[in-house]
Amino acid sequence: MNAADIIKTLISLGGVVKDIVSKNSSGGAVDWAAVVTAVGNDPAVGADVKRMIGDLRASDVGTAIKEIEHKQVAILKGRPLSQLSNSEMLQYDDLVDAKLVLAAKQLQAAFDQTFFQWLAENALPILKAAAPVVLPLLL
Amino acid sequence: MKRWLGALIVGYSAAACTPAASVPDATREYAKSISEAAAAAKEDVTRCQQADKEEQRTAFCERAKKHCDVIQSTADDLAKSAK
Repeated sequence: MNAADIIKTLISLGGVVKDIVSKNSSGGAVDWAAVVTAVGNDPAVGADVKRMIGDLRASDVGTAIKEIEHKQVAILKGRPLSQLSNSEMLQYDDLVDAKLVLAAKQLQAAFDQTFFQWLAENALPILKAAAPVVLPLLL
Repeated sequence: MKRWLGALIVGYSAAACTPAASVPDATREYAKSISEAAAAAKEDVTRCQQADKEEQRTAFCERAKKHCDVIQSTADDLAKSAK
């Protein structure tokens, strides 16, 4: 799975998780253990989540980071940031944010219920915002 | 939790997170990414301050803030998982 596919899958998975959170919370603090259980017990979304996590399982976050780095190099062309055009700088901004999110995930050793919390609260908003710019750059 | 979900989660952890890079390598990558985000934020602030159009000023100020927000959120996320 390449970087674009990883980002698209994370956004899709995040959407599913957010939907389950909205159905299982009453406005207070989210019980992420309950969300994980709900995902596992909901036949309507279980297959989708299984497929998407399965896709991610085969992927390599490190490879995705390298792909983003290649795009950074292609935009920079050896120039410092100050010499990028405004549009180039905005593209570079999105690549940097997406890379940072993936690098943080790479560093996380534990992968349990905190994954859903990370996906819904941290990664999804950032990746959804960056996706319109980042995905065309990665394809 | 259904067993398959637990197995997939453990599998993803093993396949996509831990072995993809050693802890020192992943730490270096994360530190490098923060450094790049900070450098980009600094450049965005400069462009925000020097912009002669309101639209540009707003765009780059917002981008600078977003970098800071992303740095903060990833750091918070890692701090939580490290507890």
